[in-house]
Amino acid sequence: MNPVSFYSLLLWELRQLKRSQLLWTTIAGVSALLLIGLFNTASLHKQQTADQRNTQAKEASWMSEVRERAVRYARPAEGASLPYWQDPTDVAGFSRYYLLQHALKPQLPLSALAIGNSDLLPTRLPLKLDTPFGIAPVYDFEPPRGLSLGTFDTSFVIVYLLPLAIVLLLALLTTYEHDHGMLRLIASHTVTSRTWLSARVLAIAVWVVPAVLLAIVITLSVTGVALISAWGELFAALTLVLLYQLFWFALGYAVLARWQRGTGAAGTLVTSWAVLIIGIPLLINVIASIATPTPSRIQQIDAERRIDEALPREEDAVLAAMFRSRVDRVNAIERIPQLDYATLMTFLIPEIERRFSMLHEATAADQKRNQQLSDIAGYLVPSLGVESALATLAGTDNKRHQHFEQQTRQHQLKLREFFFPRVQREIATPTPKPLLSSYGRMNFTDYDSVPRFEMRDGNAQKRVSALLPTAACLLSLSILLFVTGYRNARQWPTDID
Amino acid sequence: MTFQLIRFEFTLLRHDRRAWGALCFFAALLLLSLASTALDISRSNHDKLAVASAERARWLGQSAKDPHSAAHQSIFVFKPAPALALLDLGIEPFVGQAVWLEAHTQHDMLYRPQGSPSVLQRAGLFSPASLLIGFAPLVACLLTYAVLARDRERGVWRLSVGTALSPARLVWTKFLVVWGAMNGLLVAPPALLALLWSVMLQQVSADLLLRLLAWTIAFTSYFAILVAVGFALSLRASSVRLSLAVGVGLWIIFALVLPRAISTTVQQLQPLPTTQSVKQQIVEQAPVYWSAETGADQQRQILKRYGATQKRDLAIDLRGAQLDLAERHSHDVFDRVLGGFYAQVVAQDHLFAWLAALSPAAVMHSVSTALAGTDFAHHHRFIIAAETYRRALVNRMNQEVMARPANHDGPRHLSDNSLWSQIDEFRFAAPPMQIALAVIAPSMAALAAWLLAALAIMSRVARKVRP
Repeated sequence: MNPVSFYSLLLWELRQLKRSQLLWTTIAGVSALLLIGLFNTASLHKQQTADQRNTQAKEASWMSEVRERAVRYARPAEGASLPYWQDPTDVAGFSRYYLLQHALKPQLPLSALAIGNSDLLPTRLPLKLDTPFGIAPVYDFEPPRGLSLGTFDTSFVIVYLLPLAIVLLLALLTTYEHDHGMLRLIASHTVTSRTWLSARVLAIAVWVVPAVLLAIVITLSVTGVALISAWGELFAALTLVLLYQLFWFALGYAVLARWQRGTGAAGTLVTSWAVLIIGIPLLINVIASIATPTPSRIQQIDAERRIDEALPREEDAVLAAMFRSRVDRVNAIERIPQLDYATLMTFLIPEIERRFSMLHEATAADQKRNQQLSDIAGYLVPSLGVESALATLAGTDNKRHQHFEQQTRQHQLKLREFFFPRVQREIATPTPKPLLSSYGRMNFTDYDSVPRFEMRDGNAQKRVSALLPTAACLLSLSILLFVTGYRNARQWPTDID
Repeated sequence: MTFQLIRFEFTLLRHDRRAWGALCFFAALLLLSLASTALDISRSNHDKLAVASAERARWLGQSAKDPHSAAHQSIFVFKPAPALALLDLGIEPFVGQAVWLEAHTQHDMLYRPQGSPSVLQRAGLFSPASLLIGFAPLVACLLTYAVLARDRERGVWRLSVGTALSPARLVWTKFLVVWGAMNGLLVAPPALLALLWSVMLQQVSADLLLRLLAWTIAFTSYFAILVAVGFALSLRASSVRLSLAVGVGLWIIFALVLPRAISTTVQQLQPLPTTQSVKQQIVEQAPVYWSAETGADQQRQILKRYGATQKRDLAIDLRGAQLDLAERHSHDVFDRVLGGFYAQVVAQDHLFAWLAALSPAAVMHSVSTALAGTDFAHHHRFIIAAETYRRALVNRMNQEVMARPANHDGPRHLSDNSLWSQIDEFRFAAPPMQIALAVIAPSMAALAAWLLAALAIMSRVARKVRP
């Protein structure tokens, strides 16, 4: 009798599985959960985008109010007197009290794919000249209960629930014959254990993998994602999910090749899931937090306050040194006590930043170290790698946010370059007030010339290529597990003899 | 006889390497999480105490200055972690731990421990309670399989029931063994360690003991539900495969999917106003820097109130009165806008406590965080306490400015330590347990209902066991 070929057995298995209620119920369940996850993520990001539009609208209406005031304050008025901080036509007053700009981080087309840290990190940063290093410690309030429980998003379904569905399907659909004493009958035919098990596992994968990928594409389009504009990222995401599913199928294959019965296989696979997804991240996290504790933000507050407290005592000396260092200001040194607060700050801000720089660098170094550790863990633990990769494609990851913060900082420096010389020029060579009887100082009304922020994102190719190491790791682990399973499956189980 | 049976069943369980190994592994993970949480909390509390003390010293030791400048310099206050945060971190990693009590503004609480976590930090964040709630069902599933389902699979169960005087008693004995083992390894150690921790921190009080007791009872009840459902499934399912599959399926739905889904649904049903809109309302209704026109209007109001026609006629300082007027106006705005916003967050938690009835795991999330003092209701108490302190401080500073008129454009009055020391040190007393009960009453009722239902089902199934 000729041995049964793998191909013909696979076709037979595919036909049989097509009638499996369990298979289709599972696929339908995963698809429904994907839809819910996508809807939740999309609605959060839609809200954030609406907030950004509102912010822009408020900025515009604020500027139109400022312009109206400028017109009003240019006119002659009885007994006109106005402190500089109430005068938007005073360059110092405007720069500190009237400049209203926000750096906005727009959503990427595929943002619905993963919530990432978009529920924690701000999508709008206020731009103020005196914010140390440009980044105000602000955030958008999200319900903390939701943050602590975790949002039900697409990434949660793909990374956490999909593997469970796969391992349960594998455990139940490949051990039926073993549990019901039918494996002996199959073994008596001209089919090898490897061929039989491999065909069964592959047949399940052939139904599940494309169905899940299709479900992702359909649910993405249903939730209004412009797939064509993000085809590169979409293709990468689908490839990643494909590889992630292959990893779990490979793990299942390796476990099933030990020929446990259904309950034993399910127990082993679910335990493997728990160890990989819960145990190892928890363990690495605990070790990391013990070995390299994060610099205490509370202690940083203390350090900042000490610097803030010390500066006023040294302020006069610092300012005098700054004035002496410039020929055009050296003669204005005796005017320092009369300078307004906003003007003084144009000199003091760089000094404050210099004093804060060690704290800032320690925080940045800690963030970098955490990110590196997370990246390494992502190569070892597939769930972490995929979660991180999906967030990268969605643009909801920490790295993009850091990029956003760097650009915000650059823009702040640009604003300082714009305002500080104008403010400081008023010390030595004050602009004559055009009309002495008006409220306005009228030394700054060119509001359109103030630089505007616009975030520049790296191209999609860069985001996609960042995933290659994760994809390579997933593929390598899958191959390793397949080979292990293939080697172990060479003999039928002994308990059917 | 029953005691001997329990001992015998317990010995069998201990000899089951896989089941006992899973339980011990989980208990070890739990202790690891407990140790890590304890380390984080003790570091953070130590820093908070030290910096709060430094802040107080800075406040008292500040140089002579305009009281309004002092109100701007002001102080930072820090939220101490509740003693039982060791058991359940709840929302603590996601809410600010410090707030600056400055004049004019009710600042947000800043410096969230998980403000910008890496994927690893967020995925690996498990407090003991979240581990217990999320993964104890899986352990219960494995244990019930080990002590009952596998006996069915091997035919041992039929033999045991055939020789037992009362099959139902046999089922209950097994229930007690699994439930006892889970409580002994998973609830008792964290609860005892939490008690020890509280003693070390000198935070033991009747309120804390009651909270700890309630927390322990809640988790033992939760485990009773899990084990009862596991046994009922193992006894009723047509096959062992099916019982395990349904058990794992129920775990996925009830422990993994529903808590997140309910939380997200609550947000959809009662959405919060966005931060942007809240901030905008505050900026519009209580601007920190008022316009020339608003300033003139304020001055008119003050002059009218004090029956004066010009600044020089006032017995109080006009600038101080303006500051006071604006400050008190801002309090109304903060109460209305921010107070309303926070009330909505609390209302969301109330709704979550109601909807959590759909899943025992969701119920436990609500109950555990509230009893540990790590839910938003407790956090809100701190926000209120800090804001009350801020208002008292700023009002006192403004009164001082008002009381020293400098309306003739003379130099401003400078205050010194005699004023600073009139401001008491900020202290925050942990809110009483009633705060927790007010939120979680529906969840507690749901937990009791789940427990009764699960025990009733198991009892019914056990009664039907025949040789």
